[in-house]
Amino acid sequence: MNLNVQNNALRSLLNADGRTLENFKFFPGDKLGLTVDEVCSAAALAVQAALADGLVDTAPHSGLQQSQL
Amino acid sequence: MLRNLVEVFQDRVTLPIEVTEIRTAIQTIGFQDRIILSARTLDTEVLRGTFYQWTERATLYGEPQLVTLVIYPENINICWQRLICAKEMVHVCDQQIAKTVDIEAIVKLAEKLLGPSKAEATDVTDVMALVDKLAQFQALDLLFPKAARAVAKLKLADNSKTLLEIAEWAKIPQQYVELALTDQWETISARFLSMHD
Repeated sequence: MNLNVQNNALRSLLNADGRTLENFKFFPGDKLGLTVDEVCSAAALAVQAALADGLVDTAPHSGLQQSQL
Repeated sequence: MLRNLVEVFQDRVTLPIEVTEIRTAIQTIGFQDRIILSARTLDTEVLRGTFYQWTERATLYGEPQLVTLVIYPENINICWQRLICAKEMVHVCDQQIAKTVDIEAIVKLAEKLLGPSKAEATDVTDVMALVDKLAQFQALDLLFPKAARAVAKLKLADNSKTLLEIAEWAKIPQQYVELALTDQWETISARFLSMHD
């Protein structure tokens, strides 16, 4: 297992600012030859951006009225 | 834990079930203090979603709060956005053995998810990888619950609705509707659920 720069960025991010990591999962994409570094790097960037924006909630909505089939 | 959550929705025949309803149910049952669903532009060939759960204290001696951040791609269609959010929220119900609590475990899990699948399971990371893949299917029980599936099967059988119309009603990708309406699904779903008990 190779803990490189991307992984270390994720490591320092997940336990920073009073946060204690409890669980972390990701849903990788389907790119051919996708590497662990690419996924960790993308996850670190996404988490960092969400934290920097103040953890704003933007839940998706279907835009549909609930109905029977 | 997951069974309690699935039971909240299992009798629903009015769809779509909103992702925010699932979040409210999780919080009402008491699994979690705060869940943030954050839309970001993601390269979905690399990353389709992230689940990050942590504890924090508002004050030095305050009660720890359990917080979850789910990041999903805003640049894909709403059916996939909903499925990814539900799949990631299923991880709130992860049992201790399936949790990744340090970077070494996260990297090992990624290696398992991205690497070639092997018949033999040799360590706890295999369990984590299995749980992670199962979460996709377990999300179906939340967005397309049992009672709704029963109604859909009847409508499909009498040709009054098509798979496409049912997918649009449930607002999930059509291939998942197809899977959930197979004869084997109810047995598979029950077995998946019992793995969480």
